[in-house]
Amino acid sequence: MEKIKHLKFLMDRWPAYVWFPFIIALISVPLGFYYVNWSQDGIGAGLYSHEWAPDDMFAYWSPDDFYQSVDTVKGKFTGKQCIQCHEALTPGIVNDWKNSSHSKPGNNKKVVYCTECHGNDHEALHLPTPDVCETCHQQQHEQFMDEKRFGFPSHALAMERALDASHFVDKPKAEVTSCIQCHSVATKCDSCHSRHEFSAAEARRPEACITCHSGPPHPDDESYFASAHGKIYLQEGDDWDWSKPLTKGNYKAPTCAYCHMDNGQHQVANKSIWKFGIKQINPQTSSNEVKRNQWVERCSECHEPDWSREQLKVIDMERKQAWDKLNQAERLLRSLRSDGLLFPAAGDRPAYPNSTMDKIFPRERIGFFDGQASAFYNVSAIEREYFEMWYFDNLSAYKGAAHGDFSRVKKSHQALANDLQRLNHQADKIRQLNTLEKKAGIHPTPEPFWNTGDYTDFNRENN
Amino acid sequence: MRAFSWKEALWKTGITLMAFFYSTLLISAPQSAEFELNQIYLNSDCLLCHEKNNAQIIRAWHDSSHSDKFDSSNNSLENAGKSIADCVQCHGASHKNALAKSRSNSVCITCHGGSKAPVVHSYSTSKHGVIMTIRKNRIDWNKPLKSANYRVPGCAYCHLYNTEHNTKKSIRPNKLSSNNAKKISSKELQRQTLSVCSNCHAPRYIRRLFENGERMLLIADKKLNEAQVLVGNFITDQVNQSQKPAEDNDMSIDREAIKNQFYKMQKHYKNVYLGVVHQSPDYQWWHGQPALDGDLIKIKALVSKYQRKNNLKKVK
Repeated sequence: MEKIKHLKFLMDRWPAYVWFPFIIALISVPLGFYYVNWSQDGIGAGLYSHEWAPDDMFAYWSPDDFYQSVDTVKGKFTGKQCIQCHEALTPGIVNDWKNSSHSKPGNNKKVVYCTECHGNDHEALHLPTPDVCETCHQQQHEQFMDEKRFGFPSHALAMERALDASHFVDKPKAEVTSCIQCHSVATKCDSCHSRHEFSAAEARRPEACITCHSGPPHPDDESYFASAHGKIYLQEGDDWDWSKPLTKGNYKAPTCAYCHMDNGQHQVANKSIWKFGIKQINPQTSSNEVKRNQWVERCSECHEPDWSREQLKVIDMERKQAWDKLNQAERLLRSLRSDGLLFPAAGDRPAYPNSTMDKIFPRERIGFFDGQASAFYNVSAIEREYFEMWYFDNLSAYKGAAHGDFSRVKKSHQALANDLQRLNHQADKIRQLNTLEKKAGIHPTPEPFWNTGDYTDFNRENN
Repeated sequence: MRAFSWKEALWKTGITLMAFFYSTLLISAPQSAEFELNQIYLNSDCLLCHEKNNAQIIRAWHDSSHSDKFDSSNNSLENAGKSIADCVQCHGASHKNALAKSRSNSVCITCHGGSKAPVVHSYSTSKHGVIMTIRKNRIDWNKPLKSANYRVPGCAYCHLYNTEHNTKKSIRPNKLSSNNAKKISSKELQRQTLSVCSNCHAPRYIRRLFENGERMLLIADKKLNEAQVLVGNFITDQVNQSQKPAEDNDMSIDREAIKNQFYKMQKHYKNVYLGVVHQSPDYQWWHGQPALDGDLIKIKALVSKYQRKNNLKKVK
């Protein structure tokens, strides 16, 4: 009774607008924590883990979430015993291991046998995640995890952001196995240090990056190889001593790792200013100024500092021109959306399973902050055209500018101009057709094929 | 004791060296009469000997598409410049380095479209291909193509594993494969894959990767099917033109666009296939699946537009 009196005193003393939000926060914060915990508790992984079940292959790309050991062989083994059997069973990986520094560490260090990374119980083997490598490679692991503070796109956040993407949750899991192969860069060090040699020299070569860094949205391979730096590498790179660290004076021309991993530090995204070109950023923020200075410092190992700073301004300029075009296209699409002319409209096409709001208030996703990254299927043709403009031609232009392949910049900006013209033309046609239909008294209804079909049905039932 | 004489020592060394030199010539002489390392052979010469000595290899080569003759009456662009891939094409015209030469990727790439062709590029962007490029100067091509003799597999390691000259045995046919002759069953293929891959990878991993690949391709099949139904319906609609208003210029452009888009879609389908079989994530994904999604949307939109225009004409 005393306590309630006390509480009543407090409530009288402070006005409702103080204690009411306080109580709400007291209830909602723990509830929020509980909800987030619960949402990651399903059979899948990530925030929408209750919405999907993994494909068998996920075990190898996100081992912490899904890997289970084979139980065909029983018993516990020493490292030497593993080698004895596997020399005959899987000679390839034993050869690799023999060529690695794990098998001959030098400096009186202990040999790293299979058991150190996979465990010694054959019924409870595990796939090594970065945490396993941390046992010996603390510095690299610490740097790798530290990359998270630079936000996405980054290696360290690649897996979690992939698992939480709407299209990842929605699409059949065998299809999106393609995605997490590359996004597994966050969960396994051998994405770059190929097993079982785990050679640093190999990881320093530009080719080590191109399994993931190629294709229309990120032609890092083509843009680098076509640049002056890349041409020198292609000509002479085979003869360089790749065992040297990525420090000043060790390489004649810079490579992916030389610029993005100064002196071997593993926060690859630490100098990322333009964020892959996927969103419009303010190039003049203080944190971007810091990154800019870091770039200038790196470039001026070979070039004049002033000249280097000018090169970064060229990228600013390129981005500005690209976003001028992209924003025009976005405005065009928004005007179609507000006039209700996107056909089929959001309500007439399949919604993502993880988006309850989408089902109640269907809305077309236009622009990066609207979640456009997932809007490449189940959309109208003009939205897809814009997706391609933004994700392919725009990013290609950015990569060209950032890597110094200026013929690509020119080509991609021409493509962006063509895209804009085509979008305008298509929008005109859409408006024309709509006016004609109105005059004729026809109300077009979306055909059933937008919601059904061999793949569309399969997708609906298999996410 | 006799005094050491420089003259005599020189004389004896000379004699010994000459004896050695001529004896090696004598030993090799009878062989070189019929087998000269640098002698140039024609393909028919190869077959003369090797049909007797390596009958199995020659038979396997006859079963492979490498021995397929191209229809010379068909002067299509697709057939332009093609010839059969015979012994000399891959092994060279002499016995010198004949094996090492044929094992390297460059020999395959020459005929299979060059380094930019999807079939090659999908391999060179895979982890296997990447490591191959990085280590290309340190590879000993003299080793037989088996038992993990190579850090990573090249073209021939998988497709001509352990002297298997029937390349069809290691090729999964796809929906659009033009070559209908004697296709391999999925089980047989899985067995072949297992024997090649298991030198480096665990059997469960190989099996799961194989099954996952099949599922990935099934999805691509479904996308292609979904489009085919639309394109097919659309074409049959054209049959009943008598009941419909004749299509105007604008509509015929749309009809052509549908055909073009479906052609592009087939290329993207092939990319998924190459991404799966060569393990290139960018071919599976960016050159493949989302590209197919785009084709599907564009085909649907074109069909829809065509029908809406048709409906307008009917009202008029």
